[in-house]
Amino acid sequence: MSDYDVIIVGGGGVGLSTAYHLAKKGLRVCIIEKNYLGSGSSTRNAGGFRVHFKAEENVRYMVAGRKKLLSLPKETGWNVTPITGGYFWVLHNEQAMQEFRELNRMWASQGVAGQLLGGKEVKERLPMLELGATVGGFFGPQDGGFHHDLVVFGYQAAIRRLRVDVREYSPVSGIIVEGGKVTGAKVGSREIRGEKLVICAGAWTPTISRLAGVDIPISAERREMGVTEPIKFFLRPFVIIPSEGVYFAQGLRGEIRGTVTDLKTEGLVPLVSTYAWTVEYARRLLRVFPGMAGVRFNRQWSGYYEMTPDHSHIMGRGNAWPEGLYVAAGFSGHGMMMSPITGELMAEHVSGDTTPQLMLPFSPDRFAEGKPVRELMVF
Amino acid sequence: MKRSGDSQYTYYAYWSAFLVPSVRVRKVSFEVESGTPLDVALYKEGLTSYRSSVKFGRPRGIADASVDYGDNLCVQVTGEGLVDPTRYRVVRDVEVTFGNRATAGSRMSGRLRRFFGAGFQNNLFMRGGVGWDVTRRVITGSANLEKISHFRPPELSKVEFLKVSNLIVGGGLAGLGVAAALDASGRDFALVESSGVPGGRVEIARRLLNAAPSTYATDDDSAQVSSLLRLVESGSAAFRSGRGRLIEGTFCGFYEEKIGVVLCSEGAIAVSFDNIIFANGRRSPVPLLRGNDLPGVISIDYAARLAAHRALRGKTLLYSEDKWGSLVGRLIAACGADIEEFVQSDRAKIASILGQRRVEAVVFTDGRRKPLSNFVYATFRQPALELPAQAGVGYSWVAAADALRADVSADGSTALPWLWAVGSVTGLCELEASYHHGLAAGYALSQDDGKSRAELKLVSVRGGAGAPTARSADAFICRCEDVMVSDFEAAARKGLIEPEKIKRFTGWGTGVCQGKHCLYNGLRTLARDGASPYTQRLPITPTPFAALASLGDSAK
Repeated sequence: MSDYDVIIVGGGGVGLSTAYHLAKKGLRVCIIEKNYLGSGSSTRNAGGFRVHFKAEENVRYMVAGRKKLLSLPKETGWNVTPITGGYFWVLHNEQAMQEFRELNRMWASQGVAGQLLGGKEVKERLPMLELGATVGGFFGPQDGGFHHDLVVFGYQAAIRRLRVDVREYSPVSGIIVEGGKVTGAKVGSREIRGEKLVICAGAWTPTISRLAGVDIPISAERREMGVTEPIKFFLRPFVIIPSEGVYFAQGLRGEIRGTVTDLKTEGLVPLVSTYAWTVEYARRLLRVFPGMAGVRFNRQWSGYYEMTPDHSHIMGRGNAWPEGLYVAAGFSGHGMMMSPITGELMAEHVSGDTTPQLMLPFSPDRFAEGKPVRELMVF
Repeated sequence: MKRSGDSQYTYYAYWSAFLVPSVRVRKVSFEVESGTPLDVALYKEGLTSYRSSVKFGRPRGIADASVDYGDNLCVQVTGEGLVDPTRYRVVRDVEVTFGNRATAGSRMSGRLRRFFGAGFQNNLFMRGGVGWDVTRRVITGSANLEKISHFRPPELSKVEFLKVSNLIVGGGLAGLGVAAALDASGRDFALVESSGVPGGRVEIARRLLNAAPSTYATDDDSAQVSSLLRLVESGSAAFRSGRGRLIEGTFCGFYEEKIGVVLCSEGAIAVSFDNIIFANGRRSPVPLLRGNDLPGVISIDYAARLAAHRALRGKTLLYSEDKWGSLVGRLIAACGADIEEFVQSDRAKIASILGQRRVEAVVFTDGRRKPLSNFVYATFRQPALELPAQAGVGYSWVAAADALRADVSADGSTALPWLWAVGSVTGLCELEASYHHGLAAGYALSQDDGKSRAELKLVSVRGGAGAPTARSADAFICRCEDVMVSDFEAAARKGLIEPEKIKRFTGWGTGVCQGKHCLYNGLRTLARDGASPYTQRLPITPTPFAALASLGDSAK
């Protein structure tokens, strides 16, 4: 007899959301987290959401995901404090403009068309920036920002109400497989028995899956970011400047948070801050935004992107895997915005063994089958 | 320079050829002694309540600088190179602009927060739809600082890169001990001291002693300060050989590459090092009394600074739990300030601090009232852990001692061979003992174990404990983010009891002071033995982008 119907390994946004939706279906759920809930990457990200991806599968996924994210306060009782100010891409070459023009046709077909803007219009809408020879921009009004901590807190409160068993500070040391079927997990010498096991361990997913003899192509990338002291609110959209490799947005407190997109360190390296990133971010930010010179940089931190070969998440189960083993990970920098919808889909998949249409393209076997998603818009 | 909308709160300045710098306020100018810190100059003119809160509409005067001198100031300084960006020292005529008075949004969100507590945005009426739209507008309208385009960077002309074997942070007795031992062993080092003058607390006492007519200071106090000054002097001799360098500036923390960033008057210095030694002392946290956020509630260290400039005016009460604090209080009195010491006992306890826009009185538990202008606190000092903790030194709360203790071995070494913590920042020793602790660490770093052991024998471990202080539900724990004791209680009701989660729920410790003061009061409120603080984030002192970018530019 198992203690639980489903064991979830990893208490970040995705794990919590999956636990919540499974428990709502009346299943007995246990969630095992090696540190505290949200301690991995869920409380370390930039807090943006967007529907504008390069791969149509991801667009479709996030059109549903956005709705789910914005309705979260109704479900959990915790406001995720959305700022629906859109994403603003500032483009510096005609080739990029052309690319966005083409993409916008695909986005329009999904009902999320954005606005293509000329260089003059971009400067008018972002008067505080020093944009140089910009040729134009793209504004996605459907996108915006939210606060990741409140997603975690919301689910934490909701699963407490649903009596999900939460085990914090419990690193999983083994996965028990008997007769080709997962029957539980080990935490130290303790065995926790469950019918099914879902790995939602973000960047740590391969380490966990290997305990069951399964390789999942996810690699960690350390990224850094930081926020300033609060200043008067003036910047609604999330601004991305690909040619400078920098993005930034203003949060509810008035803080400007942002980072450079091309400085990263591969692997599960210690989550510390680097001098190289700090001075480079300051340098690039001031080049496009000289008005920030006197603003003080207040806090910085680092976290992992959990990258897959095609920069899209992996969810479901592989055909050759032990029975009862599932995964939802590898979100390649988009985990928090996708976590509410992912949990809902995973709960359907795990409890009923049907595969919802939306998650079909993201199966773990797609790499072996030669059907990658090819998402290139990762910042 | 006049702009519409903020005429009342714009401070005009003018250039003049006179040697005495002046600050002009509301068309009235006053002259200050060259080198006077700007906050002190303004305090002296009684301008403590002109600046309102950055948010939440709470009046906060310049006196907020007591939290950490210049660190916590949101004063915007315009003009070129007139005012030291780290310490706001007036060296020439000054043009200063303060932020506007609290905006309507700020006042409203302050009320919302006061009424609903932390996490008020989760309230049924505010968490979605139109309710959230309105609430969001109120919150986003609440930041008080100027819009971006009005900011002007401080003039930063200096960019320097330095490489040293040993970097010492803090020039108090402990740091000087390390410097002396390293110098005696022929090792090279650099010592960062924010005031530019070594001595730390003792230096402040020396300045008070010098400012006081000799007959006022008691012989005992003079003798104690003099004996400490002799240690400062022998430690300072370390700089004479030329092997060591004194850097004047604020240490903002160090990065993975073992590069520390120092913010100084003219710009930024990047220091790469092999070993780093933290000797940044300890400080008094504000008592958890109702009204502890009012302008005029200042630490003993800040009061001493004001007194040395003869800027501590009006009736002052010294709330003392600390022997050193009492001594400094007596020196302040000797300088002619109207200061009276108060030691809490079973019979006399302070219930709260009263005031509208600044401190007006204290009320005792028996109902007595005492009118006041300043409430100075000298509570049991806690390690200034933000730097060692950022670097990975573990700290934990010892409830019985009401104090933080560091995971540091007796000689100051830590789990990382290149990282040391000495003196009172470890919570183990202070003053004379700190000096010997520093010497011991310095000799150990120079592989002179015999001398190191000899010095360690002179270190007396201080076992003292703080007196359990009153804790009222509406006392502020975190004064940057407006977190009250009751917000911690609200967090606990929601099942959030660990420091990391409470930080994320309330905002505790994420403001511009970077938790320098609120960390202790938060842990004290949690009252959990062994609780470790949340992860400390860089930079430890908010750093203008201009300074960081100048380092980046020169790297290219």
